[in-house]
Amino acid sequence: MTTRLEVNGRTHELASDDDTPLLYALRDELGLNGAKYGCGLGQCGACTVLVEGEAVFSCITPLAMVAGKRVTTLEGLGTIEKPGRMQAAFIEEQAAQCGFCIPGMIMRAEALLRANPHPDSKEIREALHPNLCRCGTHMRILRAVQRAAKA
Amino acid sequence: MAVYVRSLMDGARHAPARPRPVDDTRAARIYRGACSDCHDHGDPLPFGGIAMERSIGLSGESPRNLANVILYGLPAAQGQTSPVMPGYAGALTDDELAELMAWLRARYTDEPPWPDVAQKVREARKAGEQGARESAGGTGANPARVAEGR
Repeated sequence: MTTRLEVNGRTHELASDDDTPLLYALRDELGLNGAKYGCGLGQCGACTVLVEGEAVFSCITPLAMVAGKRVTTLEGLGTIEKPGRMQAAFIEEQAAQCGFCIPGMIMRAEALLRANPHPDSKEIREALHPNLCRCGTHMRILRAVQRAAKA
Repeated sequence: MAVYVRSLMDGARHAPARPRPVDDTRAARIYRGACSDCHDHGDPLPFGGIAMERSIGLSGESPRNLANVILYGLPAAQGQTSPVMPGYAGALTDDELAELMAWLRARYTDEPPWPDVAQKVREARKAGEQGARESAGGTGANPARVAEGR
């Protein structure tokens, strides 16, 4: 049985079993490697993507849960030549050290700005709370989200 | 004796294997994909989740606690070992959640079906969104803040 869903505006029929985590299908079947495997338990946020505009841990979300829904990954926000507002802001602020958590940070920040276009710094901190960064890039990440909100 | 024991085994050997029907409902498929990994393998907390048969959320009088936990998860307690669970508010629709909860109740408890699952799901969602707004845009609403009656 295949699972039909929309990823970054295109409809796909995924052949993976529908108990497969969305993260694995995105990376292995569609070659979308933006979302990262961190903890696999929905506790670190590196795998965050948008489902119908909401930030979701893709490592614990099976295909059965996203059938027929619209998924947006990091690749859906822009390209290297033409990065989206959040991607551009992260580049401007050089908000990455090892970079592993950044795709998830960008997606959760994107979800925040879609729901709340002008968050204050407390709102940004609370929204990004589920995402962990072990390098200590937090201050730059906060500046990047603030920059994107002003863009 | 050996002949006797052997004779008992004949029946077992020739009994037709009963194929287990696969539950192919949406709720069962969601359970297998999202819940089973943690809840069905007997790992100790916090590495595994509680066995569904022992969950008060499933056998309780109101479905509200179960709705809160599935939507918003269980945040890690500060400085001590505690159960943790990610929330599924972003991925599950209200219909999917209500189906899943009714399925869990029927499968793991002897209690009658909840009469008001869909309603309680909507209330839990609304309270969570309210809580998130009150805590200034937070996405991981704390179930303690959205508990029934508050």
